[in-house]
Amino acid sequence: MEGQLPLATWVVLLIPMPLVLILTVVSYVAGKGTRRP
Amino acid sequence: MSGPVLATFVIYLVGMLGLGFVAYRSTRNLSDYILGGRRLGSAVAALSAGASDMSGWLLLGLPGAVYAAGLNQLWIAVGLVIGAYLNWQFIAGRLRRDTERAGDALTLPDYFENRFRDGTRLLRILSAILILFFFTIYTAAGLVGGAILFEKSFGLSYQAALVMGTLVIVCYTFIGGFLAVSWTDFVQGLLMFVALIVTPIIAIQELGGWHATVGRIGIADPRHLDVFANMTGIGIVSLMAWGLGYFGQPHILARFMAVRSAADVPAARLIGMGWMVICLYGAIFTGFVAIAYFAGAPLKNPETAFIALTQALFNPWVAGFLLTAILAAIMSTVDSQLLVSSSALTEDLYRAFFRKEASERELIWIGRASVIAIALIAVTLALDPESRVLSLVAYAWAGFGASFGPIVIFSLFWQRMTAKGALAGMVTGAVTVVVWAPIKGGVFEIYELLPGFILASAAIVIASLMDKPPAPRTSRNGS
Repeated sequence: MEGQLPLATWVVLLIPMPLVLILTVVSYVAGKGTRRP
Repeated sequence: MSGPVLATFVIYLVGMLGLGFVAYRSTRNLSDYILGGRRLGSAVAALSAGASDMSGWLLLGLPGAVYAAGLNQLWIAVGLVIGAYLNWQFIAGRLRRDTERAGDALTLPDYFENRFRDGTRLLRILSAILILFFFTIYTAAGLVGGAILFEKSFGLSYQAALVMGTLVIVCYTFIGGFLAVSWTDFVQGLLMFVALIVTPIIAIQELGGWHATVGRIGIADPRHLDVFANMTGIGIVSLMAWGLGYFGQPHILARFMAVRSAADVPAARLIGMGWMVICLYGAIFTGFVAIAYFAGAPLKNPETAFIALTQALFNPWVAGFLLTAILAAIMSTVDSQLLVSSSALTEDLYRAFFRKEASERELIWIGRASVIAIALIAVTLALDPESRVLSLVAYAWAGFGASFGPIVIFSLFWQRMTAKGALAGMVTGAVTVVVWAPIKGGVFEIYELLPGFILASAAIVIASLMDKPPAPRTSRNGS
């Protein structure tokens, strides 16, 4: 494994935090569609 | 300290004082002074919440932990991001709306008393005392951390760094109150953001790219690449449990209460979470890259990873600009905690118990005097760099998270909750944290916030169900 990140590290590095960001964007866009002017 | 670094520090500090003066002109009553008149826009509320939350830990502690132990420190960042997101998603808008309905509550103790119509006033007194106690320690710890760092890194004397830093923070908080704190937080948040993007990117480039950087770390110590290295299940759960603390931090919840309206929350959430995730990635990669950069000559103090990298990579003017981000991170947390403590003293003790008829002008001046009084106590505690305040910070985060967090959540979502339930939850949360923390071994290795949070929630449900159901909710002003 010398010289590269293990798969588990890639998963923890690249999935939870970006996923939360995507959720935030989705809830923002969805909320914008339903909000009254 | 080099001339250019000193010059950028001075420009920055003068800028913060200038913002304090501008805020002073917009502060007319106590609501303005302790909650900015509830008129923060989305961007300021978002970055102010983020900068108040992220102390020197973001630029010193987290890069230092990654530098010393590797990517297994990712777990705390994941826990914090999830906790902050849930706080923005489910608490922010409701708290903004419900605190206004609960007699236009300006502080968390004020909200607790009005929401539960607590005639005994115990909820207000106990929560105000917890705020004063924990935040005085917290503020002192922030000052100690900052002063030690400036002494070790820039050769400034400990006392001089402590007094100068405190003077600037107290000046703008004293005159400008919440608006000064929020506007300076906004600028400080931007500084931290830029510093944490620029530093690791330039460092990785210097080292010959991502693969070369990872390769060097693999040679230095391959365990630093593994997210599970030296981690137990309890260790991972404990690190992620830090995220639970968000629901009860008064200095962060105050930003939710101060946003212009609940309709501004989705945009604030987007900005706040974007800022947080990028800053955390920046801090993690700063520590990570530092492992490769200093592989030949390891740093004596891991917490100086960010400072050492900026000084090695940039010319002194750019380094000075980036290093102000450390000042920004420390100041943006200390000022918010100072102001929340001042509001507890002014609104929850002075006005509530001694001077119900006090004029707005009198209350603002009591608020300002409280800022000075609390700062003086914090500086006195911080004068001794060997004092134990630093070790009490984890208690304070867990203490607020466990004693206030469950009450805030249940108060917003469960109409059946009663004042006795809230009191039982507050006491159970605080006692569990204090009792659990010193015990070592087995299940007691779990961070005290998790059991405190669970037991406080159970106490709220049990005590509320044993109590008489509350009458249907109406606001204190009858609307």
